Amino acid sequence: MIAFVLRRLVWSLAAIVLVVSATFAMVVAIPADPARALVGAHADAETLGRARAHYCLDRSLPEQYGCYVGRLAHGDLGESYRTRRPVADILWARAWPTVQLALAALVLQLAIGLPLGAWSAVRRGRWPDRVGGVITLVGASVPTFVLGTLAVYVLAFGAGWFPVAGYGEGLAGRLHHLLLPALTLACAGIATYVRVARAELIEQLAADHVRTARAKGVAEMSVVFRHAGRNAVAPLVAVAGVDLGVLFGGAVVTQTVFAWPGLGRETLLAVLDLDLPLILGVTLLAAVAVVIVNLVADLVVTRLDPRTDPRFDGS
Amino acid sequence: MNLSPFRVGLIMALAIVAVALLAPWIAGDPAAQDIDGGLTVRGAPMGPHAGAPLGTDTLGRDVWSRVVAGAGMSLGMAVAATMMSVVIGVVVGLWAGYAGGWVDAVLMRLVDVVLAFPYLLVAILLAALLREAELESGVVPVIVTLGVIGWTTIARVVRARVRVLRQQDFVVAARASGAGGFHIVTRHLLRNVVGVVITLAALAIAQNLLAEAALSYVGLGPPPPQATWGRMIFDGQSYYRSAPWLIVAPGLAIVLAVVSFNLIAEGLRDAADPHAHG
Amino acid sequence: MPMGDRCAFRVVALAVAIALGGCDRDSRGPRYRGAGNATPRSGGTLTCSTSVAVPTLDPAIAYDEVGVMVVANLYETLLDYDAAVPGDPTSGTRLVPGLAERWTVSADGRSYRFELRAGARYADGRAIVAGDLAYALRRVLKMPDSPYGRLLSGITGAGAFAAGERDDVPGLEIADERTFVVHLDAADAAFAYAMAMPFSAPLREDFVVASGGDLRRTVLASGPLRLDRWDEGQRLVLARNPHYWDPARPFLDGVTVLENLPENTAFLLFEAGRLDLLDHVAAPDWIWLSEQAAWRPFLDTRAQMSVFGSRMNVTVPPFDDARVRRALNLAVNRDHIVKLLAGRAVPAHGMLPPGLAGRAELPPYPHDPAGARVLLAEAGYPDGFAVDYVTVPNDDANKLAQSLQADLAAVGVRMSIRVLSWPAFLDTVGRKDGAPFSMTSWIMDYPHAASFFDPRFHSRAIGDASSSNDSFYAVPEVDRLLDDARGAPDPAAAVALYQQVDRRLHDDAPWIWGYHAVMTEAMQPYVKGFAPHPVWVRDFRDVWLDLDGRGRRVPR
Repeated sequence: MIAFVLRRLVWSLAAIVLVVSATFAMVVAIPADPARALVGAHADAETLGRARAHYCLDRSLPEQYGCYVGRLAHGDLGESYRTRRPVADILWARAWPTVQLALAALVLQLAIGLPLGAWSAVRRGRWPDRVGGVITLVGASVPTFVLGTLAVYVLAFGAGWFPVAGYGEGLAGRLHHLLLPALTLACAGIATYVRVARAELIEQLAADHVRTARAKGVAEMSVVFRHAGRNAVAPLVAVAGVDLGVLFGGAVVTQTVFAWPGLGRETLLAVLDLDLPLILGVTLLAAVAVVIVNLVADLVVTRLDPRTDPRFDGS
Repeated sequence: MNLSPFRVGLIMALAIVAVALLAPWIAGDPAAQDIDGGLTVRGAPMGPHAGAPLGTDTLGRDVWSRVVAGAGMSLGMAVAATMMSVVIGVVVGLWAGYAGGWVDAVLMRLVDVVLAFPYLLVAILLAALLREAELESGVVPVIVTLGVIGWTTIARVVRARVRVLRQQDFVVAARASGAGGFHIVTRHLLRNVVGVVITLAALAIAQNLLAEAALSYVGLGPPPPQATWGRMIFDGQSYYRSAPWLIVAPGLAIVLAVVSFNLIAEGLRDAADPHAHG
Repeated sequence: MPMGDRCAFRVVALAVAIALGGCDRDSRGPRYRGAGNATPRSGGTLTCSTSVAVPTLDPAIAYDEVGVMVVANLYETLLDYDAAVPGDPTSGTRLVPGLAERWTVSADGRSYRFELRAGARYADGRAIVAGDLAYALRRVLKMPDSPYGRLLSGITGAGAFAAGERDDVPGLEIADERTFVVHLDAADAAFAYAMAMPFSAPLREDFVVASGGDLRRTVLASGPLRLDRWDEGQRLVLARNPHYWDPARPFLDGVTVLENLPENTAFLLFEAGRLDLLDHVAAPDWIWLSEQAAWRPFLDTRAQMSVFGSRMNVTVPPFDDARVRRALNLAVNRDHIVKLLAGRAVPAHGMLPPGLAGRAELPPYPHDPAGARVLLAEAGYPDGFAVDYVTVPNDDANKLAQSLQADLAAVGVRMSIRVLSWPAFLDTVGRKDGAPFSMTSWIMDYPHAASFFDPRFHSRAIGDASSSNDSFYAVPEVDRLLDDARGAPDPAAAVALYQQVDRRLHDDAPWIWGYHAVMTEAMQPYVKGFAPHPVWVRDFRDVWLDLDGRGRRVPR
């Protein structure tokens, strides 16, 4: 197990280096004039020259890359071009709201998806199965912007049940502000959990030990959750692991619509402004997060279900 | 006739394709502006009326014509991007699964690297990069962006399938009879992964339709005056209260198309996996 | 809350109504009204919003609209602009005393003498002295990434100081504690305007040193407001500066700026009475508000000191032929532009916006496709030509590009649209070999013709890359007129020279003149004393809230 983890860590480190380097290459490959965006379109040649020198922009690309890596080695992620704010500060300030939103969405997906999946499995082929399937499917098919805007307009503005936008203060305020964006974000994934939970449960319910339990007269609820459910957990954890990565990185639209101060919106602005230090910082953080989440998910899956080969057995 | 989800999905998808093909006969020019007559005096889009059954958009264009044109554009883009993903994914999956060893290791690490990119970040970056590189404005950057990002799942699934298949008798027999790797891959293995690939492709088309909408929302979709559904939503977003048809028409079109391809995928998956069959 | 108890079924009905496209909007009008105070009342906090984040509070760096708006309320400068008066297009652009009680210009136009107000203080209670002004300017000159150093380059010795060739700036003279004199290398009528921009506000050296030179979130306020709290990306809370030199101002206890609020959401909050001011009202919301009798009295507009259009590289065919450029000016339908912008625009036929000194009476370019075709044929393009058009990803720019595409198609010019992000856009339009045809816009640094003409049409502003004169328009006569106007001691003479330039540019047509933007502002009925300011956008000094005796808003 330790060898497996170590090997994974080395690979992960290599993946992170590759990801950051590839991002750097992509950004500098876009013909652009970051210096002029930095000091304004009105700037004269002298101002531009000084700004370029200050931000390493007058060097060759390998030198610029060296510039970045050199600072990174000292733990310095640089300053955002657009705001001159240290990138580390930005990431620190935006990471926690991002995690809250992603976790809340995941919890909602599980809380709604699993019971629905279990119900569908037990009532397989009958109307709860069908209706649940259709609703979650449609939920996953609406573009996030449309869903989010509708939620804001109808539930927040119209009914007044939720705040229209923002982050909220205090635990109650935060949860109140969090629910609507989390629900919007969760909608896309609920169908997946219903499907996986349903399929796994159906398979497990047909398995021998479950049949035995049933034959012994164990109550139906207990059959579903104690006997069949336990073995269905591993695949769900695997799905959740990948999903969490998506939730971390893919919440741009939701964060924008709800003015949620997460990394997604920061990322979008960084890319639109070609704010290189911030783009690289976000990429680095996201890559590390994805790698860790996947590693943990794999470990959990391996522990839960010994049948599962560690993904990197043969190589 | 039993209306299984698969059939419903297929019928819906075929209907959308039919609309796209019939566009020249059932709809007008999606780019024809009418700023004088197609907007109110103050410049607001006009609601559904005789000349425009789904109303007009912010430039006085007929929304119905644009939704119909969008069927071809959006679906075409989603399918093209998916085909690109399928080609990359199948090649990588087959190669990694069959070759095994270090080839497998390197290719699967490549998949890890791609997965370690924050999805939308790389989508936005790629879209921006391709947009600058391409002089002719068009939909190609969006297609390539979605295609390049979407292949990893296909590659993983195909690889897993192939690793199982290569131990099986017919492959072992073919190898024993002296068949080359290329022959085995194309003749024996490819045939056996087609089913699962088609399922994944249907899912990918649904995903790509939504991804085009998301890219458009952040301003990196196809350039104007292209009539894609995502672009239409983007153009109409600030009008969602005063002219909801600008969002509702393309939004519903996306929902219908995505649902239909998801249903098709679900049907195919159930057919391939009798255990899970309802 | 908005609809609250009104009808439970409405929530569901609303979703259905949206789906049916027949959504009828709640048109109750404002939720609150003024309490009826006849004279300005002190107290209350005003809440407004921005769709982006405030990038920085350092006055030497802040360059975007919202950043400058905030910084201008935190930092007081020697000179200021008069208040905006509705209906007077020149108001808000005239220099008036700020921290300086009076200022004089020497006969040769090369020395500016400022006398500070007695009792001017920072928010921490310490006195503002002349040395602080010199220090602030030296700080800007030394900063590698300040956009403002270029506005100080005319000060004697500034260039050598910035380059590190000397340790002092002889042009910055501290005559005594309250007298500050600036010497220029040459007369420059536009220089006084730099002393009204927040980057020139006084800074105390010990304060800046104590904050490590970083004023991004540390503010030494000298303006009507001071920084109370900044949850970056969420909201910026400003509070009254108790030591502001004008004891009667501001009336407000504070101002809260909500950040990153999308326009759609801001509008909902405004309607719900949670925002007091709403600016940059989007086209559909502006149309809706203008149609509501209950809201109409609380809307205000003001022509922005800006010009928008399409710029052409006049050194490459087909744009090297003035007939082609004039033809395109005739091909454009400016009525369509105004309509597409929901009336938030004034047609432009030249560079300078209404209300700016130096603007000439120009003959309008009519919408004349037939005339355009004749000119194109004369220039050798009877069948038009094909061309790429570069623009930026923004709603209005996209609409206008498509409208232009249709207008040009009508005269045979086949135009395709490319959308680029801002830094990529700047790169390609700033290069001689970059995109020759693109959207363009110009918003002044200060309300003076020089801020419009010199960076865009003086040959000095041409470079191989990053050229701010991106039409690459180089006409010696125009250069001479611009230089003469800057050095002219008599403002009237300068105005006459600028009018000549305005006419010349109108005829040479290096741009397709499009429109001058109109700022829109909607305010709650209890917000008084507010008018959109052509330079500051939002100047909170005279704003007050018409609340009841207990400081509460009065429901309508």
